[in-house]
Amino acid sequence: MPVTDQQAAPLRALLARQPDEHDRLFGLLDLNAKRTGYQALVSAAFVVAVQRRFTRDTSQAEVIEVVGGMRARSPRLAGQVDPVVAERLVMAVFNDDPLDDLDARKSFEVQSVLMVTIIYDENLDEAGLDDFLAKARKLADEWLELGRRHWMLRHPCELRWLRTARMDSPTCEQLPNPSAVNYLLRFLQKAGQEEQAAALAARAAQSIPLDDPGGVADLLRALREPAENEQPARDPAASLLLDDSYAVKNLLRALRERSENEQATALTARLPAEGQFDLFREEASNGEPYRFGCEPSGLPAPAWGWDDLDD
Amino acid sequence: MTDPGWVRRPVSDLEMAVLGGWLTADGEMAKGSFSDQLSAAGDANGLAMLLYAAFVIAARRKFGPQWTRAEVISYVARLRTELQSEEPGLVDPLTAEDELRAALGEPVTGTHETGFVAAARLFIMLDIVVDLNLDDEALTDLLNQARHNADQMLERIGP
Repeated sequence: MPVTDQQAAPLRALLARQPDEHDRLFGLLDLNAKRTGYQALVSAAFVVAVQRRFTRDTSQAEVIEVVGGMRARSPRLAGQVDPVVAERLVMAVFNDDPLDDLDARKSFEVQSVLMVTIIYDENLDEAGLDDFLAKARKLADEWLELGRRHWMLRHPCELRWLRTARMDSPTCEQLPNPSAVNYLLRFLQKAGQEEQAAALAARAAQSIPLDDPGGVADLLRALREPAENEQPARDPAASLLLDDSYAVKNLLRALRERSENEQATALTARLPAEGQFDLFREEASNGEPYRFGCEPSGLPAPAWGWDDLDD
Repeated sequence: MTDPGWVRRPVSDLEMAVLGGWLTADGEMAKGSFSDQLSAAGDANGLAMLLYAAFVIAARRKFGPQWTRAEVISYVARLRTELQSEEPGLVDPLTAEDELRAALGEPVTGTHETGFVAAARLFIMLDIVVDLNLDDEALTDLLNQARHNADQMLERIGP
């Protein structure tokens, strides 16, 4: 669901320097509206504001100076804006640095304050403010369309994929996690960007991190045809982390749906050594009990008795 | 309760030489003096206090009694931009601001990692001393005053 006028109204009031009106309008939003459309809009406004204030060539030193200058304006700003968090958030709009370690609430607060400060500095007239908000709202709508669950700026790479999807070839050096790629892929497919989707799929097959079996399973399902995958020059069945039995089971199902039986078999063979013996029994033996243990090959050991121990 | 390894004694000449070497950018001298101090006394208990005393004196000379928080923030940001190319992340901004504000007499309740505190004091002090363009005599005066203050503090906190 896109950002509604009701969700956009508090931010409009805030940026028009009407804090009381902002508080009143914000108070009219229910919790769900605050956590979805409003937060998405504020984070998107932050990204748009940073792109107006800085460029890809902006140095870290410049960012430090600008953030320092903003914090020096008042004790309130100094207390609200953690300089290290602020600098990382700004730089992350232009690079691929992960922000997963940031506290989401703190990140959002810093984004809000920086965004408002940047826009106040621009002294926009009504038309300028409308234009800024329209851009932010468009980006927020894309995120909402994408179905992201966290509206904080978690991985700017995702945003870059979205931007480049409408323009040139994707240039992001580092792919986000499989779930995010899955969302992006579906978004591109839905938008009719088949060429971009194919490029993303090819890159995902080559370089997607293999520490999230559930995400890889979702991604496999999002790849419409095996040809899009181009059989990666990797061996996911031998490399994936297998610590989540539910996710692994989901992945095995996804592999079989795509008739990737060889990969499914190889993955299953790894399960006992990864401590997933119950799942291994379920997947490999069709319920046959391992009453006498397991051979190194993973097959059930033949029956034995006390007499065999005397040999 | 004091550390069981704590030894009550005033700041030593070798500890003065360590700080003097640091402030005159003579890293080899500072390092050598630090090793000599450890060999001779087995500890460098006075060094931290000497460093702190010198940091407070330098901070108060730099900012004066009419300092503002905005000046402190801008100063720390400027210092970090200068260190950025060679030592990125060396000076933590919130630690540096709190250390400066505390040195200037404002009650500061925030606590920071020991390593960040030491780095902030060292690099701020060095920056201020360079900025003040002290000659040898003025630098010696600053160090002697720091030693005097440090000895008084050591006397108070000893076991």
